[in-house]
Amino acid sequence: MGPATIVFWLASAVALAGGLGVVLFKEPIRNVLSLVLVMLSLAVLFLLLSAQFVFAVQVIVYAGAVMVLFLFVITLLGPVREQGTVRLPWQIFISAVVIAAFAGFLVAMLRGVSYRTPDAADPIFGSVQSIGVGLFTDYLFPFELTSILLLVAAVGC
Amino acid sequence: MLSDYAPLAIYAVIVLAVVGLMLTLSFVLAPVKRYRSKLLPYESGIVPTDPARKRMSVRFYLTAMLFIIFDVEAVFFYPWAVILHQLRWYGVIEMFVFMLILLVALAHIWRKGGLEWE
Amino acid sequence: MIRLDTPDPFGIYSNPVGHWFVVVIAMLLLAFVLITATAYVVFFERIALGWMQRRPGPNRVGPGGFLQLAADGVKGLFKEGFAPVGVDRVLFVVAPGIAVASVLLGWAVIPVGIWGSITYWISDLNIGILLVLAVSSMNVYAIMLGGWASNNKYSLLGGMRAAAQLISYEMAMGLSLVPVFLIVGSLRLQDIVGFTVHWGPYSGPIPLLLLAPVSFLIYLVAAVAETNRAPFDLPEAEQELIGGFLTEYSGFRFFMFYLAEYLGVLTQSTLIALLFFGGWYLPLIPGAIALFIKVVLLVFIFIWLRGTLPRLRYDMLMRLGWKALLPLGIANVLVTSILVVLLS
Repeated sequence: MGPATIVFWLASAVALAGGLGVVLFKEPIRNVLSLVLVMLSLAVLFLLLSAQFVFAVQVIVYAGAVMVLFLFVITLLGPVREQGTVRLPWQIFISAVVIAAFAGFLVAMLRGVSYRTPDAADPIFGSVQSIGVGLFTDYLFPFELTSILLLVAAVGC
Repeated sequence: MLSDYAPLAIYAVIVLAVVGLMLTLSFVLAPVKRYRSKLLPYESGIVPTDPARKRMSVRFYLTAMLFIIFDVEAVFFYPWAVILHQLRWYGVIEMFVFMLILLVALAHIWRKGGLEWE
Repeated sequence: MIRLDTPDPFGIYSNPVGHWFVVVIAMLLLAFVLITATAYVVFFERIALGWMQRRPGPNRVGPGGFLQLAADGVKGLFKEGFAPVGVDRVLFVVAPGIAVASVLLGWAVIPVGIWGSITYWISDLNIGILLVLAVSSMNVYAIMLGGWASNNKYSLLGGMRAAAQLISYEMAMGLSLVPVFLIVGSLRLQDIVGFTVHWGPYSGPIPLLLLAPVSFLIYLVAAVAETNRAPFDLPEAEQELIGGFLTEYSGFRFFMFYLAEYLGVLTQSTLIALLFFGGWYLPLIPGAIALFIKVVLLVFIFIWLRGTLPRLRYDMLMRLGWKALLPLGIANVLVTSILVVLLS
């Protein structure tokens, strides 16, 4: 097991733990912090795929900007705690069925998939330069559309 | 290259260890003397009346929203800036179109008073 | 990667285990030197402020008061750090840790050891200074969590103000760096320092301050705001907010926030020296000393600003960030991009 594999398992474990934290904590602020943890471990996973620039952007935009917005929303709400006393009838039964269905779906989808070792990445793959070349030549139209998306966000707020 | 990041990973572990050591030392070395009035939250000398975590102004939320928009914009600038030597006028025009649309957004927010904090 | 091009008489560095051993020792040394240097930034500030205000400043402990900071540090370790009732204990303790870690981590890509023609740094990354921006954006959490966890009205308000201030000026800072990248064509600090021009008879390194002066101005203002220093020290405005997010902090956890602030001053001074003042290049002076002189002068500018300017009002601060620095930053990018294409 190489160091990259160890880091992969560590980052995956942290990401899953963070995901559980988002669901299980009762205080909203801890939910957000768990989500920050998920975002940071996702950044590490991107890095393991040699996507250096995406790693930095994941930290700057998701962990550094979007999650701050979530924190501000929580302070906007004031000191509320999740009220966990009211339950649907048959809730445990229904959720068990849904989980089983989803697990079955995953198994069906992933069965027979064979994995291969990834090719050794090109040394410049994922670098700022290669992202730039891709973004401003082949994927120019989606890039320009992004500005419309941001405009919509700005008009909406 | 992935191997460039190995020293960064080690350094990150070392930094976390140093910070952890500082936090632990603060628990180990410092004396503990607690009494009721010392443990009250500070409120200019009077006993705190209502809960501290109040609802905050919506302005903060708006600021964070605008920050996301312009942070994403800045992130798009970096790869563009690095290869502008190759793109030349083509790159300048591409970014002008992108920026023009975002400047419309900025002008709109400005006119609606989204940047006021009075 | 740390490069050691020096002679290796004991064969430590060529052996793989020995190599990582040397690397780990070097990193620990870097953390130690940074924290010590931060203490001397504080000392320098107290002396310089004393000098500006016509009072002696610290002069009792050690020769010339030089050991004052060591004494303060030891005292801080033995002070009680209590948490008032109603505090979210985990977040309250974690917050100062995030503050220190977010500044220390940025040093991974800053070239630190300069000796002759050799420069050492921890990681030579393609994303370069983006790593510094990424880790320093985590500082928002330290301040916000400190404010939220404290269960105090002043703390929460100070934390919120600080968070909004940090994100506003982070954006200005990110924009101000784009012209530098446009001119150099790389995000690595080594490439930025080593940028050379060939102007007629002159051929060699040039401080980017001459090529991107507007960027320098925006960056300096944003750097002062990012480190929560006067005149942008609203988050901890003593007269209005008692101490902002620091109100309930005491003992060594307070010291850690303090350390993070001054470490931030040191980091930003080093970055400005590398980005805009040609880093380790100075005629006739060896590299390490040249960089040291520039960093000390820039730290002095931070102190000078604190000694001179009154604190801004909050609406003025936000107006400066959004209505002045943001449009100026965008215009700066556009003009520089046209000039770069025209002149290259």
